[in-house]
Amino acid sequence: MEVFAQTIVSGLLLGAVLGLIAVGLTLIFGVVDIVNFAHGEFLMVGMYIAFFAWRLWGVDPLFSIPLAALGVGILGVISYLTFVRHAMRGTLLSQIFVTFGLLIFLRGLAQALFSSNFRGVQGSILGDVGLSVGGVSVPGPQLAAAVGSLIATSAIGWFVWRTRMGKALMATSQDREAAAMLGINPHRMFALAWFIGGIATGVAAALIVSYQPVHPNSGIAYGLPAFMIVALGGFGSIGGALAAAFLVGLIENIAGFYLPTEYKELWIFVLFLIVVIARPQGLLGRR
Amino acid sequence: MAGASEVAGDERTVERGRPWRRQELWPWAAFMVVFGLMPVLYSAPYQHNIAVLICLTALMATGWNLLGGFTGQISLGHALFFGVGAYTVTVGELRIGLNPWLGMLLGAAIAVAVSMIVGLPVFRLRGHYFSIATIAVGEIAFLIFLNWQFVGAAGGLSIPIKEDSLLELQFSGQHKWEYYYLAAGLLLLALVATQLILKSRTGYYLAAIREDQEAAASVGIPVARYKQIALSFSAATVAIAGAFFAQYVLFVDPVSVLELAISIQITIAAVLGGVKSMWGPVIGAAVLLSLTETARLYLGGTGEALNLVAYGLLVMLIAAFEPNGLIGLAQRFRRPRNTRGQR
Repeated sequence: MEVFAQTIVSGLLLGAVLGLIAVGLTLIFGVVDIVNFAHGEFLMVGMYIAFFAWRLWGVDPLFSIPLAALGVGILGVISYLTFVRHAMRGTLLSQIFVTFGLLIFLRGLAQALFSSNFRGVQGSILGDVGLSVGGVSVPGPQLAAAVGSLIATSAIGWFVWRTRMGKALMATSQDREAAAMLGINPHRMFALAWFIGGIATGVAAALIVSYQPVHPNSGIAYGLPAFMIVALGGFGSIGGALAAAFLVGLIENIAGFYLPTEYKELWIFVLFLIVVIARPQGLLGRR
Repeated sequence: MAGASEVAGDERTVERGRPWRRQELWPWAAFMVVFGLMPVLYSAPYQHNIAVLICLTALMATGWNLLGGFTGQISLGHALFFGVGAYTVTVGELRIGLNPWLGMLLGAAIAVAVSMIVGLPVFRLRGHYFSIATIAVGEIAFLIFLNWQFVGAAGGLSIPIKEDSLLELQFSGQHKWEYYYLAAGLLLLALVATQLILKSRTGYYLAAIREDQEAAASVGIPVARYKQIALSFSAATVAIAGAFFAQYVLFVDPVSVLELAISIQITIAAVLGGVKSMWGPVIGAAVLLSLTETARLYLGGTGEALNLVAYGLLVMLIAAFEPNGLIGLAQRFRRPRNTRGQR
């Protein structure tokens, strides 16, 4: 029973972080209609920012959240303005490969600048902190990451559903032409979507860097599940992404424990295929 | 509707009447000359290695392109078929002493069977959903092979070294030219097959599906069947490349044949060269591998990273500004002269 509780807790902790990353990805897709295949690499860039803030200036990753968020947000806007904007007019092939190119570019750049070495933040504030409730242990950094992710996700929810600018963003996501006719500049909204998607990823990056090593390929472990989550939840659906993220977090931990460990990532892909084939619009998606 | 099909019919008779027009012959001639002379021009053993890899990548990208470029179904999981080919040949030789050429054919047949199992569900999806579903399929295969003891799991399998012979598809010579000419021959076969498909009724059906699936269905094209035909051809071609690759390096493991990176490499070669043309994947593979190997040779480990930077940038540029790849870029320079000629 304790073990089961532990897998549930670990699953929820992972789900919260995956949720924040997936919300950023689904927001970009919903508004811009492009899958950011470089999303995991955005996360990797954010992790490097937080890591070097600690390494060079001794700033704890918890305090470099704004810096990483802003850095990745700006990276998103630059990606949109330089290449993505042009590929949007092209075929599906262009739309897919523009962000694939970005993925390769960012990985290569990280490898050229920082080598393939694994780097990690040591002695972070929360490093030795941890809770233990009834035999279930909750490490401090993971708990902080989950709580921080939930706060950031709520903030994004508040922004898109409660503020004027956020509502304009959602209007563009629902119907680009209609929104444009009401005086909402679609290009500003596209750039905004990339900015917010980047911010979400940057926050997640600074939160996980205190317990995850950073290297040029460190984005895959979160990026690949994020694509599955976004498709599972329904492309563009924020609520769907969040729900699917918790589902994936739970399944990975429960299946990882009760079924052969080496296949723990497998079940996510299997679940994804089953859901998407039975219900192509995703769990909460609209068509 | 009747009018539309009549127009398509006319076009087809014209194309069928003269399947090999003169302006379509010169690329074949250029291919023969360049690929025929490559081992002569590049005589060092490491250059032969690049030449073999160019042929194999071009073979895979050509297979991928019939589905991705000509039918518009962008698969990001084709490493699955590469792996099926590579593993079939290896396991066949190790467990039942199967001849590698027969193993190659068996690999292609298994790949077609697998493609039918995979195609049934994934073709229900379109656009981004289809692409992401193919990533999921590829990852499932990777994870299964990574832990499957019968096929060597993560450690992989080695093909036992035998006497040099064409029948056993093993040559120990340092210069590798036997491998090269066999790979180039397979590539030539794949190109001829692609050309025949594109010139046939099937080719027009595939183009119709790519341009507008609903419209294609409404004029009576069995969309699902023709997508499956494209996938089967594609899977068989990539599996043959995989089988040859395993036989060439005499070793197979999940990381070298089934990783997502292999799927990406296959597609990037086609996208770089240009997916609208049959020659795009060949040119893309040649440029991609020449770049990679040159960078690795002169710059070592840093070169590998800088090479990723360069080709990531190239892929972004092509996606954003020249979706028809290097071939589209070349035509851009040629076009003004042509229009002047017509005036």
